[in-house]
Amino acid sequence: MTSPLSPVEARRTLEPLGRLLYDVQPRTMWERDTRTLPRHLVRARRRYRAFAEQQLAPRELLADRHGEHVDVRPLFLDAARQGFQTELLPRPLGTGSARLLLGGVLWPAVLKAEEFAAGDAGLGLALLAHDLGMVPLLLSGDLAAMFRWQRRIYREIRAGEPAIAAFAITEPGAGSDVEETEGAASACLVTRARKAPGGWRLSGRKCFISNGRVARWVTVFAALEQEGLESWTCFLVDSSMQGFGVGRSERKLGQRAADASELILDDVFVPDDRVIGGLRSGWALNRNVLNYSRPAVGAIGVGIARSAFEHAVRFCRATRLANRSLLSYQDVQLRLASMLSRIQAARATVWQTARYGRPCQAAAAAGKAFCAEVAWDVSTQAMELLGDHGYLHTHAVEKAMRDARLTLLYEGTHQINLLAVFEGQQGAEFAQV
Amino acid sequence: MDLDDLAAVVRAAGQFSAERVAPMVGFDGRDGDLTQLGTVLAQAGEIGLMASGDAGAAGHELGVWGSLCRTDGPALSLRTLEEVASACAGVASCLHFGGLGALALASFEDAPASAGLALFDHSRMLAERRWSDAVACTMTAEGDVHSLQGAKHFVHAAPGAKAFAVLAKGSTGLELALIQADAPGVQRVEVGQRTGLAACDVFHLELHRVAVSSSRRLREVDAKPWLRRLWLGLCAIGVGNARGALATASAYAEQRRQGGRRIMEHPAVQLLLGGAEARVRVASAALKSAQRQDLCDLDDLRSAAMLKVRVLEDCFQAVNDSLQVLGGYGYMEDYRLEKRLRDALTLRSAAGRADDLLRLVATSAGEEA
Repeated sequence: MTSPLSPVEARRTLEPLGRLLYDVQPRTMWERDTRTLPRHLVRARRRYRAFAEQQLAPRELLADRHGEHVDVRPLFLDAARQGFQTELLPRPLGTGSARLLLGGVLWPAVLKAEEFAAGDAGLGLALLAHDLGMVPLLLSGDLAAMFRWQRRIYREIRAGEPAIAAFAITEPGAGSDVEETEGAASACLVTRARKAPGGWRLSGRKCFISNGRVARWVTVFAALEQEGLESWTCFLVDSSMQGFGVGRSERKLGQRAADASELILDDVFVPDDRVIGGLRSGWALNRNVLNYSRPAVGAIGVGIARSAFEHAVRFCRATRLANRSLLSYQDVQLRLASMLSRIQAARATVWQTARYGRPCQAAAAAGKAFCAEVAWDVSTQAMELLGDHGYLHTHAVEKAMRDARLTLLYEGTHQINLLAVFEGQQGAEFAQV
Repeated sequence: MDLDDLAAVVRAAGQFSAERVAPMVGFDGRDGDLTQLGTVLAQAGEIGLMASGDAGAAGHELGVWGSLCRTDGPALSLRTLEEVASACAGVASCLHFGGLGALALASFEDAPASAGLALFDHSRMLAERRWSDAVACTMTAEGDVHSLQGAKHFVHAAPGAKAFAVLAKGSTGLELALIQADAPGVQRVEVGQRTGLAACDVFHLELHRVAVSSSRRLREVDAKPWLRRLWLGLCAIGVGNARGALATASAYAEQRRQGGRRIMEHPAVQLLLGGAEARVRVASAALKSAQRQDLCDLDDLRSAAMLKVRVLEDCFQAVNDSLQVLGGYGYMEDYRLEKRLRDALTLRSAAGRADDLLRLVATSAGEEA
């Protein structure tokens, strides 16, 4: 029996207007947040969620178990049929909504990232990394590249080809260096571009490249011969080009369904028309790509945290102890409420970054850093809440923990992101140093 | 046992860890080459690190939770576990749970050489001081025949345990019963894929009217000393695991260069390593305090509960910070830090939730006074 002191019952004692101002509807926070969005974003969010629930979540445990052996191409085509893999350009060039893009490229990225990661962070990353591979073409502002290449690739995808893209910046001796200013000055780069008649010859190695093994198109960043990182240039490489090879695939702690591979470039000839955004614009382009991708990683963190939380709630609802549901124990309620509160705060942070419209370094890095912490904290709390059940694969919270740990490492380590916040706000909150 | 003897055993454990366990963990496979585990544990038995119920076995006295711990306290066992865990927490867990089982066997006549020990099922009930409700199986009597009915959840054991010492709810309190693994009515249910401590077996036991003779029943058992040993042993494994993680991260930080200099020279890395070392040192010091003879009251469950929560939390954080030092490489299997993280989290979650233990600390405050 409901207590007369409960919020629902107590609300009845108010005047009609008072009742109107007092929301006690039993809606999930997801639903509440969704209703704050403009209608076109509401539609997009619901579509992403439906896809994740139907296509990703049911494969979550199996994909994690089989790790690098998962073939993501059929899933990619399923997502492409929904228009999710060609959203960076508006119709008729792509499938993005002009309204979405005018509101900033970040909104579709963060909404999609949260939902896909909540379904399965590994499969989700494999799908999302495609946009990361394509976004340099957009952010370069190079209209020729957009019309010539992005349109062509999107046409291939819409014709049913798994024309997956990947983004390649990290090198074996330069991980963090290619993600922040100070390290970049003395980065030890091995991937070089040498001028040849009609184009460039690329040699070197890239590592930890998401979708590296399955990508048809790779945006590769290389320094020009005899020059440093300031000469970085973005090249659109076709994986069928002679000299392009894939090395080892990493065995990772989590997000295992997403491939992370080494790319080997052995004198790969890239024609001039595949230079994206002009020579020596690669460093600036890379920095802005990170400003785009970090909010998406923050959203991935929110999605993983949500997955851990939802699995934990499911467990607590289904488990009874001493004739009581676990949900009825106060300490369990405290934990779950703490988790939900943190997820709520993290999502608000990501959405606030998206509201800025244009990607912004400090906001992007701050959001990513905060959400990664939340993902890690919530998923380890979920493990803790389940006790011995927490380390069993079948309940999926340990998987969420393993998936979450990567958010503190990729798109710049946690520390690199914090330094990016400082650098981004120099001359504003911080004096120039 | 004097300090020299203790140091000798710890040295032997360190040598075994470096020469036998570390190569097994190696660099291939998610948890190392577990096909070697049987050989490694047999070697641990031969050199006396693995306790045994057999009075003639090398580890009967000096092994982990060997008979010496009854008179000399837990120091030897904990130091041994820490050394072995510095190479592999899973192998150390085998010694720990195998040792606890062997120690339980000493209470019975004509017992087998090795056993698993199955204590409490619900740490939440411990927090509520409902000892009997914390076990999920009951000893029932039908005439002169006693039998076990119910289940034991998350039984940890060294591989190959042929018997189990099972804590059950009896008519006058808790009872400890020794049952054969293949006795009628005993069904082992595998828990499936786990996060960490892969070397150690974990399973449930379903018990359907398992007959127990009077010589295999101990009545009105005080389970606190067992719980204390269980938790302290997990702490020692946590400390060893974190120590190993810190050593890997420190070595990496000396070699890896970013921004034109060794990453050890970057303040961000120094903060991580300094923090990790501080946590390991504090955890180790806290655990050593429990090893001192004057604090070795086995009824002091509160301090063991506090240690289980704090030491394993600090060790987990130390492993986490160590992994962060390696950046993306820490996330890959190559450096084994991801394995250490999985093990650290499993140790933290196993055998009693932190929230339950903290509540136990609070609710039992009066008893200690």
